[in-house]
Amino acid sequence: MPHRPQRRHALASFLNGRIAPGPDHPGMQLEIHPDHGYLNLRGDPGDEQFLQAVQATLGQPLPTIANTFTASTQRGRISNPSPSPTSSHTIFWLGPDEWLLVTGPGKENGKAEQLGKSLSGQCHSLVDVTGGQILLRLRGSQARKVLAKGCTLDLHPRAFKVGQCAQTTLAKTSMLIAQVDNTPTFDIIVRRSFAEYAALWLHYSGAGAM
Amino acid sequence: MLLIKCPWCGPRDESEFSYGGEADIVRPAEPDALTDEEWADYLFMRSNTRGLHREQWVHEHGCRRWFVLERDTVTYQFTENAT
Repeated sequence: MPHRPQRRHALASFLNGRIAPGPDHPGMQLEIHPDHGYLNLRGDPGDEQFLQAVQATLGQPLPTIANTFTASTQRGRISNPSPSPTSSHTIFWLGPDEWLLVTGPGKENGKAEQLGKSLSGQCHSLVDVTGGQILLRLRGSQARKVLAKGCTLDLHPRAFKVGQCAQTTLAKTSMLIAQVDNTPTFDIIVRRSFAEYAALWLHYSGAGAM
Repeated sequence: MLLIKCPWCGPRDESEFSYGGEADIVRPAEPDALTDEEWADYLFMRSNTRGLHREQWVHEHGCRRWFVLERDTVTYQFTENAT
């Protein structure tokens, strides 16, 4: 029998050991959603055929406005969402010709296959980057304040709203921050090798913010 | 800290960017035809302008796109809407 490597998410040992997902602070909860799939898609947003093929496959348009995301559920646009993680998929704008598709757990292969089929013959790039990142969810009345401690982004509700995302640095770590509701809840996608540091930073910064 | 206006993401903190040096330097079409002096000039020699300077930046921790801005090297003020 050939050895089949098993995928272990970036915070597997973190969860088992040093810090449980809590202790939850009254104004901030930090959740770890390790099982999502991630696909990096590149293509020309000026090409109608490309946009239509993606929309037909995913059932939602690619966000062509900078620093926004679209969710296949309406989760991103309602004020009181269900606590479940991204149920189907979310598309984040990464650049003028680059998007990150976050799928439900284990759904990345199927989605990649569908997209690959509908985009075959067209100029595009589709890469499965699932092993490379992890999603942290920060929720609560103090969440914005905690982020602001380590982030140069203007996080005032006037400047950063539900449905917006931004690639920026938090505590000197590159990451993508997206506001998914008005609790507020922020989804943070961070690279695997920085995940433990980022999670610890958020944990301790949250403790200090109360 | 500079507040740098990325053409895609808008104003962001300087720490998200990397500097790419003087803009508008074109690689010679036929490097083989150049003398050593001309090649060295292309590779190494920069204008070191005092005043308005066109320069390249990359939004490294954001959208990772390169773009050109004009900045006054005395006041550090960026020129709005420079082309």
